[in-house]
Amino acid sequence: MSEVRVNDLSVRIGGQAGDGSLTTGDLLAKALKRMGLWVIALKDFPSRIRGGHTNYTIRAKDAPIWGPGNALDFLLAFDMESVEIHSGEIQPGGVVIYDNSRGEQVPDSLHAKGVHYLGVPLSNIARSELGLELMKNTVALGVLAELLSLDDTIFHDILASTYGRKGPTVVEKNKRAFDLGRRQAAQAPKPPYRITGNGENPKRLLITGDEAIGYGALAAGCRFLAAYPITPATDILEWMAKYLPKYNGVVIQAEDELAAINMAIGAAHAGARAMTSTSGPGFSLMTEAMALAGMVEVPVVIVDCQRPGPSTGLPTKTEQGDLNHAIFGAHGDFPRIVLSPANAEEAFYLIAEAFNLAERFQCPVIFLTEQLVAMSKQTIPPLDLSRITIDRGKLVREPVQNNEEWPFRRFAITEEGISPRPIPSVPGGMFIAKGSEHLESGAYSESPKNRTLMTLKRMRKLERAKEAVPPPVLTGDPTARVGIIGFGGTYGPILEAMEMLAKEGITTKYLRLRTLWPFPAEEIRRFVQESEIVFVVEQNATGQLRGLVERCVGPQEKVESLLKFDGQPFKPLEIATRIDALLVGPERVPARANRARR
Amino acid sequence: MATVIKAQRNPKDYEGLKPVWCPGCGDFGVLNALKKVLADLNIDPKDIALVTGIGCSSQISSFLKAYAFHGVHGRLLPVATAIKLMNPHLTVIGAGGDGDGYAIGLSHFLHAVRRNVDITYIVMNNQVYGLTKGQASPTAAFGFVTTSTPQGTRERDVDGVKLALAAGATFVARGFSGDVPQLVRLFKEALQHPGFALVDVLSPCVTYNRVNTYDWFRENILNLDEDPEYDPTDRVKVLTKIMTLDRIPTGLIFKDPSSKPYSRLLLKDPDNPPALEELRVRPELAELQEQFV
Repeated sequence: MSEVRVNDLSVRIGGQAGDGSLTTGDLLAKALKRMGLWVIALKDFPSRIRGGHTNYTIRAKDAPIWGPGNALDFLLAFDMESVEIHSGEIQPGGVVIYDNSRGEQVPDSLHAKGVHYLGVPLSNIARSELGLELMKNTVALGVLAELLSLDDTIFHDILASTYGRKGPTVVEKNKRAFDLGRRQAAQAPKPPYRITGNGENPKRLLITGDEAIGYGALAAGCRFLAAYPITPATDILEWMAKYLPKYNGVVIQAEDELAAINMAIGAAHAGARAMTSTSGPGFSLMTEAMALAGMVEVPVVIVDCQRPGPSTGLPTKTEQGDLNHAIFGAHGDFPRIVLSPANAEEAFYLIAEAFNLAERFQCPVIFLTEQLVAMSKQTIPPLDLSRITIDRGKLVREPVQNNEEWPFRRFAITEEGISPRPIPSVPGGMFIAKGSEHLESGAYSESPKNRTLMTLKRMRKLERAKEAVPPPVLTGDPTARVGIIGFGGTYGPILEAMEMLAKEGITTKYLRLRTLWPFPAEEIRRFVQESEIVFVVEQNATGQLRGLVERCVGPQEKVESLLKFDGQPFKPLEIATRIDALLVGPERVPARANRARR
Repeated sequence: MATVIKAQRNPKDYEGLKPVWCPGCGDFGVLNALKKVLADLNIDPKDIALVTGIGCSSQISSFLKAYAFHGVHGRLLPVATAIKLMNPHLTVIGAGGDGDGYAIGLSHFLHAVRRNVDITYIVMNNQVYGLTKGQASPTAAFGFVTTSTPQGTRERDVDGVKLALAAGATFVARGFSGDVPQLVRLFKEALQHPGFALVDVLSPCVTYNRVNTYDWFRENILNLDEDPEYDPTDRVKVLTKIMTLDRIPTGLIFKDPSSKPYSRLLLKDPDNPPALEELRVRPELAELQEQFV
């Protein structure tokens, strides 16, 4: 293993929760980003406050990346448990840096071929030289910087900006810790890595999906958020709590998710753009009021940051198991729109579009994302606010003509199913927003004829919405015989898997769904028809997206599920291997792919 | 949006659809008192947001002319809270029954009290579930026999007034549908209170509750408004008094003169309601990216 890996690096920092691995990881991520690399920082932490193994993976590359890599290059292990858990993932040429302050040694049984093990008394140095054990993080960072021959300046700058608030003494101590770490590793053999970065575009952002959702919502004019804290959606609540009030908006930490969504509905009914954010368990509670929003035709945006269920499931891990719930959950028939972003960048623009769609079609919009996208820090290009538009649909703010009529026919049956929506205080617009079946005025009605007409009116909106929602994105060679269908955070791993397969001579194409409802049936039908084998890649156990695909095309042998539901995001290799493996089967082999295989 | 100054309104200006309550239902008293108060205060119907839950009494949102919201069971307070925050110019009234407020919506009730959001909440309390034809409600007295409690309830009753007081409510009153003039006074004061105002109204169900009738209430209530010694501003004394009464207190029970409404605490610019903002993408928001660089 003498090949030098250039600008392609995965570093995992492992220890006990509270050890400070998140801080170390953030510092490293920032440094690599400033060198011009694309970085993703993936949190894998236990669902408890302190203690328990936690790890943070920083991946950097000179191309955009949106998920974990196939293997690790470096492991910063603050305890031996971390070595035990992760050293198997280190690829040859990599280094395990472990704390040997108490004479710890890595047992032979854990030694992997081609991996170097470097014991450094991180805690001892921190305690004796700096007087604070937590400084071991910065010492470790110095060790890593030395092994990778990284320049001091960027690290010193970042230490200064990170710890500046705590005063110059703390900054100086950290710089010293960093230098001590460097010195510790000065004699160690240099592993075969070269990080040059390219220094281009230092304005790129390092942002989580949650932050991007909050920011995008604010930019789109959202003035109200009600939410109950829940991982992995809490960061939306916290980000908005900090910024929304500055723009005359309101954030309420509700008593539960029932209140949260009803508040958002009230705010939207009043005329403000309103949102609620949650994860699976909270989303379950919200389904009753989601149906209310469908019935009273109130535009409300519901963010579901998925985590593995059912029940409490794995609160801090990732999954895409709420898809059916988002599309089919709640009682009765009503129109809804379900969107899903690939990454933090798309989340920003797509959440803004969610508000437009909600107001244009006067229905709930579910914004379905997942822990991987919601909580990972991702490197994205600067955000362009001029790409955001505001379309409030048939909102009525001017006095209604002929305003002696009461109640106003808020639910007028129109060809497109959308009716004028006055907000409280508009003269002549008074109506009854009724959750029971109602006439055009909102007055209660049990008339079978009206019931039929009203149901059809509401559902007609979905037909119109089909033309307005973001269509699927086709990537790769459109003539490829191997097709991949996916949504949300599988985006990054799928793209990388496609690259890997291309290197093997297997060309693929990929249809990524940004809108999950109304389901892009036509595009799916065409895509499946034009493929000889289709892999539906998703992170759940039952193939929920595949089920939706089969609703369109019927059960077909050529449609394969590629599933993962262990709480961890896909690695590119997992996807590539499973596609590769199925292509060698005797009957299913698409001819071109067959030829391409040696 | 400023209220258009018009000639003095009268209760007919607030007439909505024809009520479908049973003849003699206590809720008629609430509706009539409310229309009278709104006329007296000369509030433009378009500036009223009336939010209700589910139950016989919650149908009031169709019977009074306003911007009405008839939502799901027990959740009217979260809806009303947000409407008020997004447009503090509106007069926001929540109305529902005892099942809606003290059973399925109890948690929202206590949290609305905590928030002191400036809305008026009217609970039409008849101690029974009328719309589902006669099951025990959480305010039904211990031993109350209904179709769902054939042996009599084995649960103690909830008292919304005491709960509100204990939770720190800034305005607590109780009226009786059989005394509309008092209801008018209480509603008027509640609507003008700068904070969350609870008016629990003893509102007899003439169909499913043959125990707690108009006559029964007349014999069992104690009108504190008639007691010149009663001080409704001292929470501890008020609680002590009503916890030891052997009759049901009515009248203005408690009022905190220092109440500060939630919307004033939360909104940076309450005079410019977010609901009425002319939305545009603000280019200056691009600066927020700096935190991520």
